[in-house]
Amino acid sequence: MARDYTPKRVKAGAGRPVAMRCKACAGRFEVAHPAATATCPDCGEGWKIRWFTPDSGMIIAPLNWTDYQVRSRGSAAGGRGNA
Amino acid sequence: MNKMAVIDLTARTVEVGGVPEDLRRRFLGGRGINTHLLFHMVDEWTDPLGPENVLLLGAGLLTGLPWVGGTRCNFTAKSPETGHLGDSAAGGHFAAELRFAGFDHLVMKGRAERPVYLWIHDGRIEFRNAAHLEPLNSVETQNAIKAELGDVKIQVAAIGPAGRRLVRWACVMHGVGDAWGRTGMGAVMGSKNLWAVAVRGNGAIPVADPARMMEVTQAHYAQITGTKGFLATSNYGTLIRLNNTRTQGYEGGFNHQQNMTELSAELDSDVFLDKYESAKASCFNCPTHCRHQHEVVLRDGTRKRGGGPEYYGVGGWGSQCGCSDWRTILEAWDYCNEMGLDTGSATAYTAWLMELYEKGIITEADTGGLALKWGDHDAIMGVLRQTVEGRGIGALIAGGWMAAARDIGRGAHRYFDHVKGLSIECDDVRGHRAQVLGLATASRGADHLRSRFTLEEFSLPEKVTEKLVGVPIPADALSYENKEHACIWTENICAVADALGMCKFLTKWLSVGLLGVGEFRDAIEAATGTAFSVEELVRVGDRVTNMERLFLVREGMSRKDDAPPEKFYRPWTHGPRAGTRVEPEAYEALLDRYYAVRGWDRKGIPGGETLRALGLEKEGAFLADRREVRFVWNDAGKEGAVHAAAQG
Repeated sequence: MARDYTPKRVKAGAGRPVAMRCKACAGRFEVAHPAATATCPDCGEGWKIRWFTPDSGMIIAPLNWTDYQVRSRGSAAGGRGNA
Repeated sequence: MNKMAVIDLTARTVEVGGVPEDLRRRFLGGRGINTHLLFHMVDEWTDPLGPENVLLLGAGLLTGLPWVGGTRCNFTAKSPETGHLGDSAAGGHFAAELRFAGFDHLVMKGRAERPVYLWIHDGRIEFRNAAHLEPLNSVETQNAIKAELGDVKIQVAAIGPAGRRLVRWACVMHGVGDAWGRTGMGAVMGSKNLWAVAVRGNGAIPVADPARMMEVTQAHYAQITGTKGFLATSNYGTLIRLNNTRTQGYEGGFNHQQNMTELSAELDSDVFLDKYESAKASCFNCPTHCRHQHEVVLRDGTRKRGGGPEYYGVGGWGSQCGCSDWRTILEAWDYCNEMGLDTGSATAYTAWLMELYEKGIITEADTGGLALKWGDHDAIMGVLRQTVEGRGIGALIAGGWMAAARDIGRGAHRYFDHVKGLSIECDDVRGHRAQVLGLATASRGADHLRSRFTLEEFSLPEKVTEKLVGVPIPADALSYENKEHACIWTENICAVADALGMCKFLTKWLSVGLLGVGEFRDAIEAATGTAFSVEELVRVGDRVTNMERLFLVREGMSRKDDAPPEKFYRPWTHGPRAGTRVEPEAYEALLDRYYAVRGWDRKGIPGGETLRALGLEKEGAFLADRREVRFVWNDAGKEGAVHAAAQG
C-alpha cells in the first residue's frame, strides 16, 4: 500500500460524491469519499482511488495492472477523444 | 535596482550596468530578455562551443520576491546539441539568491584560459580558480565551493564531468535535483572553462508597493492552494503523469514503438512514494513543494540519497527503455545528475540505441560490448557511463544524435524522434492535436514546457476554454478545430511565465484554477510599479515567441522544421484509441491556420506587419536576404547541412 497522505480533517468527514472520468472508457461516474476503490459502471473497470480532500479525489491506478493491460491493449479502436 | 553584468572570461573583466527600462517593458526578464540578447549577440555562423558564443543567465522579473512561485532563471545560448536556440530554466534557490546578490542578468562571453568559477556576492563578481574541482562530480563541486567560501547558504550552479568533457547534451546542476537540462547549456559552460557560478547575497529586491505585494501574494497563495488539484500536485509532482499516460495509452513505450506497454505494475507512481520517497522539497517560496527526495539501496548494496525523480526520467527509462525496476531508474537518474547529463536526452538516446540494437543496426561491435536489451540495468548504466567516459557507443552520442547517426549510418537517423533536433518527451501526444502542434512549433525543439496545451487532457467544456483562450476549444482531443488558438495561448502564457521566473506548475498551463496573465499583471504592478494591461502582457509573450522565431529563421528554419516526428504519422497499436495517428493533411491545415493567426506566411516566416506591431522590425530586417538550412540524408544515412541559396 502506498503512503496515506489524506489529511486528518478529511478522514474525519465525509465528502459529497465526486465525478471522475474512467481512464479506460472515458465515461464519467461518481465516487463518494472515502471509497478506496471504484468500478466504472460503463465498462466495469476497477480503479484505485486517492483522496486529497473530501471533494477532491482522483483515479490513480487500475486495481490490477496486469489484467488492465491485457484488456486495454486488446481493446478495439473507437474510444472517445480523451480516454 | 538590480544590475546586468557583462563578464568577459577571456579578459577576466566585468562591466556592470542597469537593465534598460525599455528592455524590461518589452521583454520583462528571464527568458524574454535572454532571447533578445542572444539574438543580438550571436549569429547563424556562431560555433556553439566556441568562445564567440555567449552564455546568458537571466532571473525572472518576479524571481526572489515574497510572491508565490517566482523561483526560476534561464540559461540561454546557442545550443551545441541542436545547433540553434538553446535555453533552459530551473527552479530551486539559485535564482533568488542571484537577485539578492544584486544581479538579474549575467552575460558570459569568451573563454577562460584556465578553469574558473564565478563567486558573486553582494554586488561583487570574482573569478576563482576551479582546477582543483576536476575530480569532483556536480554535487561534490557545489559542496566543495561552499566549504571553500565558508558559507553553506551559498547557492551554486555547477557542471559535472559531462559538461567539462563537452558532452553536447550536458546540463547545469543546482543542488541534487535541479537542472538546467535541455539543449546542452552545461557543454556551453564547459567550453568556456567556467565550471560553476556561486551566489550569495544579503541585498533586498526593491518592491514598489509592499502592502499591495503582500495582498496580492496572499490572494495568489489562497488561489493556488485552493485548487482541487493542489494536493495531487504536491503529493505526486510530475510523477502524476506516469500513471495517467500508462493507463490511457499514450505512454510512449520502447522508443515510441508502442503506446501502451505490458511493463510490470512496479512502474507505478505509488510504488515510488511508498518504497523510495524519503521527503519532499520546495523551490524558493513555493507552496506546492512537489520535488521528491529519495533514498534507495542500489544493486551493489550502496545506500543512495538523491533529489527527484521527475516524470521525464521515469517515463524515459521506464516506458521508453522498457525498465520497470525503480532501483535502476533511480540509479540512472542520480548518475545523470551527478555527472551533469540531461536526463531528457539521456533517456531518448538510450531508447534510440536500444531500438537500433533490437533491429540489428548496431551490434556489440558498435556498443563497446554492451548488449542493449530493453530494460536491462547494465545496458542503461553502460550507455551513461560510456558517454561520460568517452568510450564505446557513448563516445558517439556524446557528440549529439545527429553526429552519431551520421557515423552509424544504415538509416539510424530514422529511429530518433525529435523536433528541430531536440528529442521528444517520453509520453506520446499524437492523440492530442493541440499538443502535437505545440510540440512541432516549440522554439527550442520538441518541448512540453513552452507550448503543450495540457488542458487538452481534461476534456474541459467549451465555455471554459472559450473564456480562457478566447475561442471555444473542442473537448475532443482528437479534433483539429481551433487547436491553433490553444497552442498560441499556451505559447504566450509560457513565454510570459518564463520571463517572470514563474514555475508552470502554478499557472493555467496546468490547471484552469491556477494563476494566469491577470494575476501576473497584479503581481508585476505591485512589485515594480509598472502598469501592464492583460493585452500588453500577452503581447510580451507574442513578442518573445516572435523573437525566438526570428532567431530560428535566421538559422535557416521554416515550415519544414515545424513537423512532428515521423512516427506520429503512424497509428497507435494498442489500447482504447488504437489506430489514432496524425493525419498529414489535417495537420498541415492546422499549421496553416496557426501561421495565419500568428501573422506568419505559409513558410512560417513572420510577416512585416506582425513584426512592426511588436516593435521587431529592426530584428526582422535580415529577412530580405535570409538563408535556409536543409538537413539532407543520403541513402547511407549520411547527414549534411546544406546552406541553400537565399529564398524569396
